[in-house]
Amino acid sequence: MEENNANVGAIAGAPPKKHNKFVQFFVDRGLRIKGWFVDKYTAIKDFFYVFTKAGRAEKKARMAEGPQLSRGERFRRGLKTQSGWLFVLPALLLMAVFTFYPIIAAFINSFKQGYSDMTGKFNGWGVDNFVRVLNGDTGTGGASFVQCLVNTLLLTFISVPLSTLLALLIAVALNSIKRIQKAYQTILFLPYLTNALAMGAVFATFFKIIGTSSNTETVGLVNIVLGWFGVKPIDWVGLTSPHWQLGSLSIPWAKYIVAIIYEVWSGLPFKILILFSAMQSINKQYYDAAKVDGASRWTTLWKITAPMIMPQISYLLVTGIMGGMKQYSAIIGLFGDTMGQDYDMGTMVGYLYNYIELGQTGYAFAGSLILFIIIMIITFFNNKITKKRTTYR
Amino acid sequence: MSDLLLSSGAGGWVVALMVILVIAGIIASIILIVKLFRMVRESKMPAAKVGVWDLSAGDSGFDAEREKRMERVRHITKNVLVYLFLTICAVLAFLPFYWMIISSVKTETEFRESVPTFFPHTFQWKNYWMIFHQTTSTARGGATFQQILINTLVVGLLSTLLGLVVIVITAYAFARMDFKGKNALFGLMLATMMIPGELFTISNYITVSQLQMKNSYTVLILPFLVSVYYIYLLRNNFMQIPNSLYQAAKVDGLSDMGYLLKVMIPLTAPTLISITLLRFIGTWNSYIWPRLVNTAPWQMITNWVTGGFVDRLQPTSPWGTDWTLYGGIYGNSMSLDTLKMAAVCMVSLPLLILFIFCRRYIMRGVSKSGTKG
Amino acid sequence: MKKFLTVALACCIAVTGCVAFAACGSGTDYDHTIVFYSSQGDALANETDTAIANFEEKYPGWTVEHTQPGGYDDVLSKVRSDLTAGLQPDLAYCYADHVAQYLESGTVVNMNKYLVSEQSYSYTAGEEQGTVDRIGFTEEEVAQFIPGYFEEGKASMYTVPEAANLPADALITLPFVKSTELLYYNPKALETLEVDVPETWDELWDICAKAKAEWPNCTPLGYDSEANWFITMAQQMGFNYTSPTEGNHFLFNNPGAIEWLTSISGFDDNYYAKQYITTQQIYGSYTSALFIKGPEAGGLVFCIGSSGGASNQSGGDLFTTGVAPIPGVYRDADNDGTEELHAECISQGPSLVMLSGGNGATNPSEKEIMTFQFVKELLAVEFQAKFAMASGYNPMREDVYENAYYAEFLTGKDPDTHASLNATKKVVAAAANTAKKLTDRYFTSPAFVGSTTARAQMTSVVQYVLLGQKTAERALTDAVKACGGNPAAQQ
Repeated sequence: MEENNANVGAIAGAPPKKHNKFVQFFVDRGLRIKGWFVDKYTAIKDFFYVFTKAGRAEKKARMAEGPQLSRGERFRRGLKTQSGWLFVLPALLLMAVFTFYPIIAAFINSFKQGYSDMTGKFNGWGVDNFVRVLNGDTGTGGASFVQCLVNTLLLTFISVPLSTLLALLIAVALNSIKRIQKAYQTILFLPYLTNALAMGAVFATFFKIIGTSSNTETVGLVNIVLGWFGVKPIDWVGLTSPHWQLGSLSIPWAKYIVAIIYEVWSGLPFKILILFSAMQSINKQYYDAAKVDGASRWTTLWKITAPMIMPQISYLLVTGIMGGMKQYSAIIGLFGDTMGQDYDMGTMVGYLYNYIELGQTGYAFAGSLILFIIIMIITFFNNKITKKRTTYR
Repeated sequence: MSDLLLSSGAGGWVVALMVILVIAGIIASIILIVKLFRMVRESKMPAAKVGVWDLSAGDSGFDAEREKRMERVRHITKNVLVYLFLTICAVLAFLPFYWMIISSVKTETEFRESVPTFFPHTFQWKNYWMIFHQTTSTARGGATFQQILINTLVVGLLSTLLGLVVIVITAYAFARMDFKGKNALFGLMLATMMIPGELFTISNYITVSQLQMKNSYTVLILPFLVSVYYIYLLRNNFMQIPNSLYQAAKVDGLSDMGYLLKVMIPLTAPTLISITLLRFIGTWNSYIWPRLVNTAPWQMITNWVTGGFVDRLQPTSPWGTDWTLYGGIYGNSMSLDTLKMAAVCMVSLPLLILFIFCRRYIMRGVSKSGTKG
Repeated sequence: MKKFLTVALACCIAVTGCVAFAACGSGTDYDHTIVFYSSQGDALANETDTAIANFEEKYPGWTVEHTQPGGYDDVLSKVRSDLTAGLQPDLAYCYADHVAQYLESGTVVNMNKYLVSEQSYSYTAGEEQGTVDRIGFTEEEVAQFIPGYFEEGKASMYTVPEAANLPADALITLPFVKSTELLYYNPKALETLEVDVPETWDELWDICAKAKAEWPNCTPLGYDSEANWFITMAQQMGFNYTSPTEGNHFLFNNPGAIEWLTSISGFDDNYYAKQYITTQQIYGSYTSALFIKGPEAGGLVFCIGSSGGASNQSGGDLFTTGVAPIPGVYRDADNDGTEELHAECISQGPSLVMLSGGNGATNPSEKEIMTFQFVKELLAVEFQAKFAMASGYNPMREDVYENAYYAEFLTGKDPDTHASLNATKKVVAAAANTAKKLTDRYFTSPAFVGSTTARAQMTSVVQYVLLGQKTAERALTDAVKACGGNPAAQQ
């Protein structure tokens, strides 16, 4: 919110000189970035004001103005006004141990070179861990960072828009019917409750080929259905799963399809629910007005429904992408502990656990920090985009 | 097309039915659309006006009549398409559950038939007996299904209830009380939501090890008691309660705690119930942390599922001594998919039952989280 | 009301605190409890219970806590993570590869000081005291240890880091039970094909061709462990795998390896392309599950698997499983003009490693001595005989074979009832008999930090090449890189 105000201020402060569209684009970006820094600077200055000479003087003056209280009274009052701390104390203690400390530890440990979690020994400080993680030069035969990053990004940026679009279609359809709406809604919500590991295993049976190359027992449900249309059986999840090789990077497209189908299936319920309840809460008067104006159904959808639920759509995209960046257990459920063949379906989070299991916590710490930075960057862009979008409202 | 139906085997009638339904739907839609166009042409109205909603626009009674009929046809067409689409989606959403349930009672031989059956020839309920009488490969002395279930329930209940207490008092403090550094602290807590939880895992593992908390329920409960997201959700909920109520309560001599217990909690009960349910579901589904910190007798139900289930020789059983499901043709080392599906059912069905009874609260809780963020 | 507020809050914090610490003190007295990690299944763990009972009876006040974290790899990852937190077990199942990783922690115990120690020792047990008459084994007993197995545990077999604090002649592990790989075959199928049990790989491939012609649906050979196959062939054919030399560990990218891999590959007209082969990873389970189906039903004719898994290889009513040594190659290794058979087979199976100072015990040296007493129970003749019978593993000492009980088992009779063994037990006995004769063919590969990685990479290499996804050259180059070696420096 602050950020937004700062932007507005920055833009308003500069005289609106007209540029052509191309130049204006960069001017806008520049002003916005500048605004962001100015804002942060102001905040920091404000915070440290009390520590400056002027600030201290002001505080003293304020103290002198107020009624003079005895020390005991002041203590009692202080205790009373600060009793909120007592309420947050349990949460604070727990978070100090299990949240704040680990963050600090992760930052520190990721800069320890050759860190051994077993002995706590390390060779010295530096960015060696990061370099090795990014180069894929860990020498442990574990997952490759670039592969994991590409997998995660591809899977997320394909499956999230896809499932959001599908959810939108279903929500519109749900919204337009009257009878047995609840029943459809309930059935469509069911996948939300499932366990990624359990349902991943079920999906794997749809795609799995059982048997040997010379004596196949079953090629799995999906291959059989595809077989009706003359498609030869594909080894979707097994070792001979087809893939494209781009240098050292492999794109196991068949496994991608399986993972995307699962992600869409498991992501739909939440998205349908959000979009549907958003649609339900749109004031019926808008639709009546549209009807009077003679707007077609399509127009109504695009001119009324879509803008009204835009905040929800952008929310779903943001949370979907965040969730997608952290996917892990579905991959384990579908492709087993090694995340495909030689981790070719590894994800970012999978990478971390892989290196924890290999006892290379230095790399795991470094990887988790890189993941954090990537998520921050995505969040930053998400915020920029969604802010623009929601202004349509 | 007849080949298609025949190839799906005797049990393929469900597929056949689905296919027939879909085809019938498509045919019906085509007929309706054709009819619609014919009517449009008959009415000799400019096609552009078809989309007009206003029915009173017709200047003669005859036209209005025609319009009305067209409207109805269009309505039916639309409805058929919409229902068709929703049915297909619902079938696809439910298919994995159906597959899971029928696979869990199939025999392994039937499961591996080159053309899968959509309804089991024989129901083998012994699959369930087998998985209940199998300890996980890692376990001896207690990691049977019963033990795992008790673990999951105890941890689920304790962590939900204790967590709720912590969440409520923290949310209350943030919503209603004033203390120095409140906003800074709240901001700090919210900021941690941006950080992937995996970052914590490694250090937390070392912490609990050094505190010697491994192999206990504590270690499964304590690190997850605080949920910043739910605190945030509940705080917003608390803040929606008008301030005048608080003033009134103060006048009546209620303390902060009394106000919280007697006014706020009852008012926000639906949200609290939703949080309780969602937290319980979350605990039920936890997998990574229990696997990392605890050995089998202390693990949770999802850990049990991934153990892999084999046709193990049972020294005693209702069907005689030294009994196996398949007389050893799958050996005692091959993980069988049907048994795995039975185990998956045991994990998934309780959640589905919970959902049937608490559908409203669960869906409300999930949708509520959508309006904020 | 304010009081109520304070009390309620205090309660909350107290409850949280109580839960936090209630379960911590699980009450185990780790000063007198020996923690033992193994990967034994239920049946074998029941056998181990007798050793535990013996120990606890001899030394009242002392108990053994036997935990099974899972398979070998699970034991490894558990011990490693426990070492991080100082919760290491006192005794654990291990492979040489694993110990190479534990050494860094400096907690691995040099068992030399106890092995033949004649001293007696008085120990505490709660309030009371007791005496260990003799800490170590007698010289005669140690002489009975099968040398091939015993040598594996010497520090000279490892690349010992400085942190380990161990002398060069230290005894790091003791063998517990051992296994090797054996060729299980289907005698009925061989009869139908009118062939003998193959002695060399060439003979085996010929039989595969015949089997494939007879039963087009069958897969003639199943080899359970891809990595073992590569390592064994390196030994038999004389190409390099790894070396213990620091800085030059990974030698497996060489022409000999490429030639062999290509011959079994899925490319062109090689053996996998002809559908002769399947492996555990490719099939998705131990290939014994295929073997016991018989070739007529699309199963195997030959299955190469661990002697420890013999109980899974019984053909039941279909056929009586035959057991033979794995095939070898004829080559002239010593340049004397005559070719001799090289049919080396890998020696594997669990060893025991002792770790000190776990679980905050206040009496580490006393615990080491008592843990060694438990090791003695595990290596006692009677127990070794029983355990070997139950598992199909080979005992680690010669005199077990002289044990009347075990000897009768090896002849195919139940030592309790003197009746003929059932089909499954017969295979176990046959496997034990065969493996017993192979001790001079055993070899082990060097263990160092990174040897686990090399092994895992070999699994991938064999898989990639069999499935025709990578050429042998490419797969090996990639593997060297994954191990952290320099691909350019090889060849």
